[in-house]
Amino acid sequence: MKTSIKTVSFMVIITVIFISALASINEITKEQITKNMEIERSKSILYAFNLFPENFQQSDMTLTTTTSNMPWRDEEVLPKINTQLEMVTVAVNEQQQQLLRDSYLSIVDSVELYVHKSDDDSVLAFGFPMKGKGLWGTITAFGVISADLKTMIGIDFTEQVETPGLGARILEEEYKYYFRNLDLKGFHQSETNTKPIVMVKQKQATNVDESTNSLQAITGATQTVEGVLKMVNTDLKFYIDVIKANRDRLMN
Amino acid sequence: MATSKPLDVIKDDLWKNNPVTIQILGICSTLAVTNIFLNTLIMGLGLTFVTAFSSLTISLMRNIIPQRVRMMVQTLVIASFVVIVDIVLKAYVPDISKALGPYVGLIITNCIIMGRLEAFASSNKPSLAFLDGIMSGVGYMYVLLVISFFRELLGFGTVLGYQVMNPLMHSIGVSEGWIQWSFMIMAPGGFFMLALFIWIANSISMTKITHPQK
Repeated sequence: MKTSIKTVSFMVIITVIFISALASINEITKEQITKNMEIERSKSILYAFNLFPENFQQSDMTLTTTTSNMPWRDEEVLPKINTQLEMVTVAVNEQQQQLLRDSYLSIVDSVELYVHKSDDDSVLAFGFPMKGKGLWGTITAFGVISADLKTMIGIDFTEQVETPGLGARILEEEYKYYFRNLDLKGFHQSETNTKPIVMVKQKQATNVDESTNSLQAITGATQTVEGVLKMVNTDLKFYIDVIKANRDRLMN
Repeated sequence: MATSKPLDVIKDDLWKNNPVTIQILGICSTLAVTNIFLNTLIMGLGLTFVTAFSSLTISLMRNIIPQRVRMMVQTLVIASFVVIVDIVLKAYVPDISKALGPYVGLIITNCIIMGRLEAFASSNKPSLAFLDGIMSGVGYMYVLLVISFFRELLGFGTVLGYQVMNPLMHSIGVSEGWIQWSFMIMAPGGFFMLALFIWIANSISMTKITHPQK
C-alpha cells in the first residue's frame, strides 16, 4: 500500500513538472504561432484567388508544390490581402440555412465573403471558407468562384489531417489545379439527379485546357477526395445561393 | 547493458548497431520525410534533440524512478520533448513544420528513442546516456540525409532547393535539361533508396566480418 502511494505520488509530481514546463513554453510562443497561422491562411486565400507573389506565376509550380512552398515574404502577405480583397458580411435567410444542414459549416445568421475587385472597381471573384469531412477528420478549405458564378477560380485547403503521401496530396498543385476553371453551370440548372461536380479516375485534360464539371481522383485516397467532392457540391450550392440573393449589394 | 566506453558508444550508434540499417527502426519517417533534404535535416535534428535530452533526463532520474512505472515516465519524458520540438518548429519555421506534418508528433512513437532509454539511459551515467542519445540521433540522421540527397537530386534536380541538374545537363549539351524522376519524390522512391542503402551498408559490414575467417 505504502509503495503504491509512493509510486502514484511520484507520477503525479513528475507529470505536474513536465506539464508546467510545456504550458510555459506554449505561453511564450502562442502569439508567434497564431501570427504564423494567420499568414498561412492568408497565403491559401491568395492562392485560391489566383494571386501570386511578385515574379512568380502558375507555371512556376511543379506537380508537388504546396502553398507553403510558394516564395511569399511574410511581410507582403497581409498587405496584399488588405489591398486586393474586401470582406463583406451578408445575411443568411432561413431557406439558405436549410442548405447548411448537409454541410459541416455551422448554421449561422450571416457569412463573410471576400470580394476581389479590379482596378476599375468591377467585381472579379468571390471567396469563402468551406468545411467537409475527410478520412481522419475535418477538412477546411477556401474556395473562390468567378463574379458570374459560372466557373471556379481556385481552391486551397487550410486545415486537414489526412494520410501523408495519400490523402494529404490534396495540398499539392497536381490535385488543386483541376479546380481552376471548373465548370459550375450544374449549380444553376433546375433539379437533376446528377451532382453539379463529379469525380473521374482518368481525366484527359485539366479544366484550364478544357472546362468541364469533373475533378481528378487520387489513387489510394478515395475517402479523402470523396469528402472533398461532397464538401464542394454542398458548400458551393449554399454560397451561390447566398451570393445570388445579395448580388446587387455585392456587385456595388 | 550496452557498451560503456564513449568511443564504443559512438562506433555502435553510427555503424555497428545503426538504428536504421541494422535495427531497422524509425522506418516510417525515414520513408516519409526524405524527399526534401532540408525537411530531413530538421526532422533528424528534432529526433536527435529528443533522443539526447530524453536519455539525459531518464539517466538523471534512473535511481528514483519506480520500476513499475518506468515506461510511463519514459513516455512522458519523450512526449514532452517532442511537444517542445513541435511548438518551436510551429513558431519559428512554420513552413517546415507544415511540410513535416504529423511526423514531428510521431517522433514519440519512434522506437529508436524508447529503445535507447530502456536499453541504455536507464542503466548508464548521464554524460554517457546523453552521448548515446546524440549519436543514436546522428546515426539515424546521416542515413536519412544520404537518402534525401539522392531523392531530391534525382526527383527535383535540386540540392537544398538550388537547381543543379538543369545547368549540368545544359553544359553537356542536353537542351531539355533534367527530366525529373517523379518516382523518387513519391514513397516507392524512398523504399528503393533505403533498401539500396541497407544493402550497401550491410555488404560492407559483412565483408569486414567474413575476411578474417578465410
